[in-house]
Amino acid sequence: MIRRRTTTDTPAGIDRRTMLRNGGLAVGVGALLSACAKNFGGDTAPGRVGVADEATSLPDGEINDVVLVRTMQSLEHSVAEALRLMTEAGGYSAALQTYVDRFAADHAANGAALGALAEANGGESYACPNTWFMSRYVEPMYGAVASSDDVQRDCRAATHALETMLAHSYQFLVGLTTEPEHRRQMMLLGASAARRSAMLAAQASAGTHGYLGPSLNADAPETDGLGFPIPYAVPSTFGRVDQVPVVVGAVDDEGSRFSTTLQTPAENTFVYDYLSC
Amino acid sequence: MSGSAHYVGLHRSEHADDRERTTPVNQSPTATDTPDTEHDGLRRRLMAGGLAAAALGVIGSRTASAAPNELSAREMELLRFAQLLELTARDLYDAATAAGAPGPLWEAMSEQHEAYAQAIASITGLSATGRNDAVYDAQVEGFRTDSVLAAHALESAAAATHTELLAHITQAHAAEVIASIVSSESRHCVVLADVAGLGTNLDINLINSADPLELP
Repeated sequence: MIRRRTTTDTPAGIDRRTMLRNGGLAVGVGALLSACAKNFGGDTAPGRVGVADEATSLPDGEINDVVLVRTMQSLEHSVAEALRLMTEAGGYSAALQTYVDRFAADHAANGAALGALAEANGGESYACPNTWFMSRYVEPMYGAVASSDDVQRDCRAATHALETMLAHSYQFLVGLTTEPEHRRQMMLLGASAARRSAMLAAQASAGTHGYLGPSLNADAPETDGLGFPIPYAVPSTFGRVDQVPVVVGAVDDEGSRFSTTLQTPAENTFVYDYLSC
Repeated sequence: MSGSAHYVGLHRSEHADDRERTTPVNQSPTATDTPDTEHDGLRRRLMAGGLAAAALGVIGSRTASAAPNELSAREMELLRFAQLLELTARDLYDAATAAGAPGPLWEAMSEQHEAYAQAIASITGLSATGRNDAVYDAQVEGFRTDSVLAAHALESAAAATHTELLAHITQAHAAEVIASIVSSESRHCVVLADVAGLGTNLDINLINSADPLELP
């Protein structure tokens, strides 16, 4: 049996049911009115905490042939700078220093040629190292090399990796470059980089492991007994554009050495028109 | 320097007659080969074709190329010229091997040039058969008697020729393939110089002084 409350228990005017009904009505009408209201303006951005400066976004960069040429120019300067650092650190044997001096001269000449090519096509020469590449690759690598247990071993490996990266980069950018003549001029330098890479590899490991890499010779190992990548003069049938592994430096407390992979240029490495040095 | 190239390529199907289509890509190139040679040749061509396909996959996977376009009749002619040069190099290395040149390295070189011809076949549809007889006839004696220096000269000329070719190819993918061949043949030059005892000669190793072959 249901026993109803007597109405005399409730104060006159507002009971619970009335309050719920009126409250729901007010919320519903409010939602309707705000949906139909005009836009009165105001800041719609998320609120900020603190007093940091407003973030400024980079200009939109167009990727064109001039940008690609300037990017390779910056990489030539980056490799030249890396060779200079390693030379100053006494990182090369007398015989290898002869090669490196020649390589450095070639990088300077290549940088000048690319700068001239950029200017001939309405761009600005970019005769300085690539900031992103230096901070991400060269500086950490050099830091590991400089404190290595075998500086000459590591300088030779780093130099080979940098020259290989250049060869890969020139070849990779052929697919992004639009003018055929610019492709030709880029690959003239790309072929030179491939030759420098192959020469270093042949001198370093051909006597022990041969010229042909693991993809061509099943007996050719990828790494030596200490885990260092073995360079090969002909690592594969076709020229490659993949990343280049580098292992340098002394063994750390965890039993490993500094390692990285050098990569061909991408949007974050390109030297856009709005950049100058 | 323009931001985008203006492509004036002709549709491939309009020029189907310009191409050799009578022989499957992997068929042995000559009818006079012995059965054993045919077997070896087929195996080699299958390997080379596989390598070419794998390499093209790698090359293609990293690129963000300009919009593809069809190859013009002129581009097809130039790529056929490049393909015949690669097949000629293969035959010259084979001739050197038959004349007693050291085996594994020469066989590898031969297979690589076969792979380059197959790669060009994959982008043009042209069968990887035949060779440039003028180049072969001019070089074969050198390959039989002093194969290292002859091979160095041929690789240098091939790399120079393919580099020159890049100035005439508008299609990005075709240019990528040719560029990868240039890179690899430049490495071949260094290897051959090292085999010849010239591995520390900076000028020979770093400068390609060969003239490109005259393009058709």
